[in-house]
Amino acid sequence: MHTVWVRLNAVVFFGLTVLLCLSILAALSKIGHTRYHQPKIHKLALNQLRSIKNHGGVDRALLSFDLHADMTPAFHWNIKQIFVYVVASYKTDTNPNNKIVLWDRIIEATDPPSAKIIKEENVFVKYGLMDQGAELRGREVQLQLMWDHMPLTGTLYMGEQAKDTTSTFTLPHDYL
Amino acid sequence: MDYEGQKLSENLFYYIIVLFGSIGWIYGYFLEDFTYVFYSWSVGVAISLVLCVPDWPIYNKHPIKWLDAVPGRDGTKERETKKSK
Repeated sequence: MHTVWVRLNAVVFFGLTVLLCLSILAALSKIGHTRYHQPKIHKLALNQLRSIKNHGGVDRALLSFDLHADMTPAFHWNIKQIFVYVVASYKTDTNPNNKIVLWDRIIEATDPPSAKIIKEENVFVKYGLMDQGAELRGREVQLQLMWDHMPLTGTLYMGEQAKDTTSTFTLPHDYL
Repeated sequence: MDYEGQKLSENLFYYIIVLFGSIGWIYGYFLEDFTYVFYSWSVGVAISLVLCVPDWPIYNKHPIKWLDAVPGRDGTKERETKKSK
C-alpha cells in the first residue's frame, strides 16, 4: 500500500473479488425459482404431417405443429436467455429411445414481453424428423417442449413440459 | 503515504466498494435487473480509485518519527537520546 501501483492493484482486484461475490449471490438467490414458476404450455400438438419419405435408406418425416406457450415465468433477474426447443421422441425396434429436436428458438431476457409468449399455428419444423434407419413408419411419436435456462452467472439448467400434458401422434404405415 | 494513511486508504476502498455493491445488488434484485448491480459496483470502484489511489494530503497526517542517526565512526559524539520533534 506504499505506492500508487500497489494501491491501484489492491483497489482493482478487491473490486473484482466483490463483483465475483455479488455474481455468486445472484446465482444463489434464484435457487428453487422453478419450483414456483413454471412456464405454461397450453398446446403443443401436430398440425399437419407434410411427408414421410425414404432418403437413401433413411426415413424422414416433415410436419408442422401448433405451439402455445407462455415462457414468462421462466425469466428472472439472473436469466440471460431461454433456449426453447421441441423434441420428438419415439421407439423403434433397433433403438428403444430416440429424441429428435424439430424446432428451436432463443428468447432473450431483453426481448419485449410479447416475445416471451409463443402463440403460433402451423409452424413448419426447422429440422426434419429423421430416423437412424428406415423404421419411422407406423411409429407413435411424442412431442414435448423443453427449454434451457441460460443464466448470467451460475449453472445452466433445463426445464421440460410435464409428461402428462404432452401430445402424441402416429405416423402412417406407408410413405407419403 | 504514512502507515496510518495506508490503513485509512485500505479501509476506505474496502467499505466503499462493498457498500456500493451491496446497495446495487439489493436494488437490482427488486428491480429484476443485474445491470444495476454492475453500474453501482462500477461507481464504487471509480470513487475508490479517485479517493484511495493518489497520495492525498489526508493520508500524510502521521509522519513516521525516525530515531536519530547512530553516531559517526569517529566516536566524537555519544549516541544522542531521542529528541522529540
